[in-house]
Amino acid sequence: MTKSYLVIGAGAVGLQIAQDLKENGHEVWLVEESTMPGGKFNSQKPLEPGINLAYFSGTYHPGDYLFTSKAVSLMASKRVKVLYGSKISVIKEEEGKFYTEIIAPKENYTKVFDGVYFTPGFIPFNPEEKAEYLYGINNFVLTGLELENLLKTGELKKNPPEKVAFIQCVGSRNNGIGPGKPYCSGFCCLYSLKEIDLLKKVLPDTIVKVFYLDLRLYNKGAEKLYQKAVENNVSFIRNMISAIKEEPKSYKPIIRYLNNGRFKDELFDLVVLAQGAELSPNIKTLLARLNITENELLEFYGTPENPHQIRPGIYFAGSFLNPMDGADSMVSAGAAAFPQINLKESVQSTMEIKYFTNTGIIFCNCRGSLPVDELKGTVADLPSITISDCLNEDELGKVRSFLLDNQIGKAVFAGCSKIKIMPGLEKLAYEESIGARFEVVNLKEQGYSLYGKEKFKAIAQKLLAGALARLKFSTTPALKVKNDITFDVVIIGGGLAGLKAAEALTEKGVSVTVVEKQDSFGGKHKNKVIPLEGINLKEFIEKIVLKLENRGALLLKNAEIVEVSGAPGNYQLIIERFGKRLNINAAAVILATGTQNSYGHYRKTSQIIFQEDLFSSADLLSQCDSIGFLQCAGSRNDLNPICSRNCCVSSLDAAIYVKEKFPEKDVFIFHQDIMAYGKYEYKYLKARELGIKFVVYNRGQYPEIKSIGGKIQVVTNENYLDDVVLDLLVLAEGAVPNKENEKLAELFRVGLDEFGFLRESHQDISGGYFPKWGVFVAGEAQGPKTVREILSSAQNTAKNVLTYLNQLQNSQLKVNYSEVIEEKCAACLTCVRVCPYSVPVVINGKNVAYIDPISCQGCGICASECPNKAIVQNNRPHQGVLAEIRVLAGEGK
Amino acid sequence: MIVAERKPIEEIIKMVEKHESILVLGCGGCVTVCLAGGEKEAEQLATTLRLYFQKENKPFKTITTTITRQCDPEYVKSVAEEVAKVDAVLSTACGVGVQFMAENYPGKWVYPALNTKFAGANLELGVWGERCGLCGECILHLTGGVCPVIRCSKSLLNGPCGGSQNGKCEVSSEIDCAWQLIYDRLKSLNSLDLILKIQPPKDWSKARDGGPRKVVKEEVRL
Amino acid sequence: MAAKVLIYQCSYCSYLTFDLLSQYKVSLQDNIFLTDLPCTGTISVNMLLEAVENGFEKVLVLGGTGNDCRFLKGSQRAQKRVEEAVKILREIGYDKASIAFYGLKPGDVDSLKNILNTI
Ligand SMILES: Cc1cc2nc3c(=O)[nH]c(=O)nc-3n(C[C@H](O)[C@H](O)[C@H](O)COP(=O)(O)OP(=O)(O)OC[C@H]3O[C@@H](n4cnc5c(N)ncnc54)[C@H](O)[C@@H]3O)c2cc1C
Ligand code: SF4
Ligand code: SF4
Ligand code: SF4
Ligand code: SF4
Ligand code: SF4
Repeated sequence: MTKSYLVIGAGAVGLQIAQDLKENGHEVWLVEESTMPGGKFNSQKPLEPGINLAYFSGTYHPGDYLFTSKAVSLMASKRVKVLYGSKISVIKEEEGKFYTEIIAPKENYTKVFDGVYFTPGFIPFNPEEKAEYLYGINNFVLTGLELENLLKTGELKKNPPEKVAFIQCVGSRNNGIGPGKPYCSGFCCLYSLKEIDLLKKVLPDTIVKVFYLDLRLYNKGAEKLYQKAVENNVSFIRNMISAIKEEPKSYKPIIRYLNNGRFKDELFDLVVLAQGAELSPNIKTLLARLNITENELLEFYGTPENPHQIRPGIYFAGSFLNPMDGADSMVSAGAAAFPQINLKESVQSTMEIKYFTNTGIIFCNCRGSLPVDELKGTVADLPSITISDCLNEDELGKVRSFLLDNQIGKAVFAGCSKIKIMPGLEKLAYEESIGARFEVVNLKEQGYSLYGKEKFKAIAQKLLAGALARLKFSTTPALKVKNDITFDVVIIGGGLAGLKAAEALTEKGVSVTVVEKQDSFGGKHKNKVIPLEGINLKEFIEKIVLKLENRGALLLKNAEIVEVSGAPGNYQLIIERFGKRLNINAAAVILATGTQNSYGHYRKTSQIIFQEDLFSSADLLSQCDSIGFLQCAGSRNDLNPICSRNCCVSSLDAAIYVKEKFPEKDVFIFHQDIMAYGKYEYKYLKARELGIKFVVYNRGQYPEIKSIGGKIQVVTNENYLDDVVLDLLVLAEGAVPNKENEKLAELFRVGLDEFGFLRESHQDISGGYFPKWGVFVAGEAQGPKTVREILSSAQNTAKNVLTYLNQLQNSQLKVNYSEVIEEKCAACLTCVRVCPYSVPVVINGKNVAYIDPISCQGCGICASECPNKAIVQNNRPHQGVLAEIRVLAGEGK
Repeated sequence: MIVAERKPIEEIIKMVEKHESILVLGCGGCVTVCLAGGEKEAEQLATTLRLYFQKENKPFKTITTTITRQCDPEYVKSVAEEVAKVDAVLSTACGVGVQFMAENYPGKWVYPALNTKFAGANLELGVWGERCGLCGECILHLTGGVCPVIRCSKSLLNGPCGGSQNGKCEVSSEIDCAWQLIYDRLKSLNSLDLILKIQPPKDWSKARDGGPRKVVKEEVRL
Repeated sequence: MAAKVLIYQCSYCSYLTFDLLSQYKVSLQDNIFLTDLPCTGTISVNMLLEAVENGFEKVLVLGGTGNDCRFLKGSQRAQKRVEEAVKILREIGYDKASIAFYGLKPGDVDSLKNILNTI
């Protein structure tokens, strides 16, 4: 049943949710306060600077359009109403419905919704509130974003600072005292390291010192930035900075900090403040109307099982839910949208594909910023139109009628980057069955911006002529018909992520098979009885398994996948179980193989155990008077370079559990940086309140552990503490990529990242997608995660799978694939051998190769290797490429 | 299949430099399959030559085409028009194709672009191994399916010789001793008695020692 | 006139890096032409040679790094083909032009800048 939803905030998350809901047939109103979409990732916003270099999955990306412009065009539809510069003035909940009044620039609306999504992100903390940092008073004190702007404009190079200090946690982790918030803002440690990286690239000799409490670099990409900073001689100083002073003559800032037990005053040329996250005041008012108090807001909302649903009809997602980076935000968006996504009734689309033969040009002047008019008619005498904005509903409509009116089957789009525009153009093919092929000439990012005003026209003409020459040889897209799809999904790995994804999918009526290698379900969490993030995982897992059995899911223990064949939508898997082979068909496969434990260089004794032992037997706790937790025992070392992300939360939960039950016991946590990021900080605060003692050891300098007289002695490097004597020491094992990943990557033809985790597509940042169709990842197989994050990730993947199953049912157009010219094929098997996805086959007896267009990824590897040139990559036939070369090389246009 | 590989480019240049226009003729048979002379290689070779003569500032034109096989008269004749347009033909077929083209186009130079190597099999992508010496009288039934004529460096029929060590031939440690392979095969076939039988001298007149050979299949001839 | 340069981008990785370039205040001269392929694995030896034949004195193929390729093996294939084309140029003594492959991570603007500086 289709419903109507209100989404508040058109940042990356709001856009993604609107797109998902729309695709499922719901009506969506997207209300955005500012005049543009994109939130923090929009770098073109007039008032607040945005992030245009977003760091995620280990590199920088153009945040603005990867996260947002793409979504804008995918969202464009009559079912979506986007209101910019708008505000909700009234919201009331009555019997599960939401009555709203919306004030928009042109018109005011009253409207009733079935549900509300809050995706307003956060606003940066204003450092002026912390007067002691002199922000706004002293010109040498900046915020991170201001620094990034100086770097971008080249200002900083003109007047290079010799010494720069970064102060972390400004407005965050205030412990309830003074301005700011008690939680950790989660991304500012990463963000500061990113600024340092950018700074060092421009000014490699600058001395950089970072003053921090904990360096919360919990995601796998962040560790790389840290290593780079260390190589670049950045100093990291664990010190709370309470004030900045001014040098009376130069007004340069002075920072006082503890150095070997003594105070030291140091002069800097610049101080950069890492601002934290705040809630915007107007959102607080809206929430109050829905009886959600500010106090509730500060803690986690929802339940850990369903973190995004606050109560029926109200959902929170993105950095508003919990401060997080872009990639995590997108996972959160998908998980929040999940409840509204259903499997469509199987209807074979009857829409006829419209194939045309004319060629045309679509110009875009990019809101007036590109002088495309001077190109019109100068390259070719072809029909053309000019649009002026990203493919929102209006612009898409213009393109649609242009194609239909002029019977255009091949078109060059001359405007911005293809990464931005292609999804919108392809939408015409997928959703409206217009069988056109598009070529993009990037006149903006790779044209005007790179060559400048003077050279623009000549270069643009060449590129345009080149694309037209190339296009002559491309074919129109092929029809993709699906009639034999099954709706079975196979999940490899029956741990928390796999089970949760299975639960989510079976709830929507998808039939699911779970393949588990071990002889029980639940993976590494299956025996955990001490609550972790509020969940007794043992019971939780047992409940899901029971539910799955009742829903008729096929649960295979002791089973292993050994072979994969077939095409997306119709994979054939062979599963081996007790020596027998089982054939299973699947429309989609989810890889949820989790991680393995890494025990570092430690060995277990009766008194030195690992977290997994402790969590599975609560009795251990009653038998000892003093207990210690040693963090990072299996992480951030030579065997496992990255943070395992969940062990600090686990130790905090266990420590709090002990202390609440047995207040008389002594509890210690030995740590490097306690990774209580985001709202996990509340656990840390609670632990301190309960009297749990935190002992810091330097990175890599693990305390010495001795066994003396039936006790464990921990020799610390903190000079104010005597050596600690314990009855029980719990080591935090780490999470390393599952060894199975290599096998799975090979079987399913997906990639691994540098650490050995399954590598997602870096352009589909909505999380959990592989470049290959029909194969998905959930949970820790992609990277370490906490329980909450695993559950979110599983829900998000379930959403991705549902969306994909729905897409399979429509007939769609395949644009990018290779085809065999049978008459030329010598059946030499070269294509069969070189294809990275094993798509081509030479059927015995037929003596020619066949490439299934749906499975083909369109890389063109086979086309270039075929010794008889019997394969054509339809999007880039060799003749087309050669024609383009000639045009580009030639004089004139 | 016939396995071939492209000649060094200098050698090819020397052959064609006296001409101003050539037809680079690919073959869709064995040499396509062994990635030496199909359409792709023919085009690549043509471009390479054009580039060379461009550098040398000499006029040089190419036509490139590929026929199904250069060892059948019908296919060979189908390029008469192209052949007429050029000074010479550079064939990327095996030696058979080159000769057959030459036979069919008297008065035209036909040059070999490839070195024809052997009759062999594709061991893996990009690797081929010699398997048959075309001796005219096959004895594989006596040797368990391993050919001593071509795979034994000395073509011993009653091997191995004293140079067989750890399964390798004394000629090179890269070469498997054929007689070791024969022994292993026969053992796995439970037929080691065969290896003890002395093979009489082979009738080499059936091989190419008896002069060029011809095969006639009477029943298809009218 | 400055030597003509042709740069093949991979639509999935180096394309993105080129998109970022102008934000780093990099600009290109008009002797440099950019075009893209779905994957650098689409490149063939002949395409590279023909580009040289048609007057490009530098042909660069910018693909992904070893384990970063969107198509798993595409950039490795491209690299091999570039090596072959380079070998052919060497064999015929053609030293007026050069062909090169570079692997870089998507978004790695610094490496890209270094590559462009060598032009
Ligand atoms: C300085 C800084 C640097 C960062 N760097 C990175 C990075 O390098 N890589 C990375 O992955 N992440 C980074 N992040 C994190 C990233 O910004 C967030 O993860 C991401 O923006 C979250 O998206 P969102 O949609 O939840 O929120 P936002 O992007 O904040 O979008 C929220 C939208 O809601 C609108 N809105 C707010 N209130 C209302 C209202 N009442 N009514 C209507 N609309 C409203 C806002 O105008 C905005 O458009 C950084 C964050 C900061 C602050
Ligand atoms: S991420 Fe957390 S610890 Fe790091 S600066 Fe931000 S608030 Fe502080
Ligand atoms: S204990 Fe685990 S979560 Fe904490 S810092 Fe170490 S690796 Fe990260
Ligand atoms: S590589 Fe070409 S000739 Fe060989 S089997 Fe494939 S399509 Fe046929
Ligand atoms: S284009 Fe790529 S994916 Fe498609 S068949 Fe050829 S090699 Fe395989
Ligand atoms: S015995 Fe003669 S025909 Fe048989 S494989 Fe050896 S060389 Fe060929």
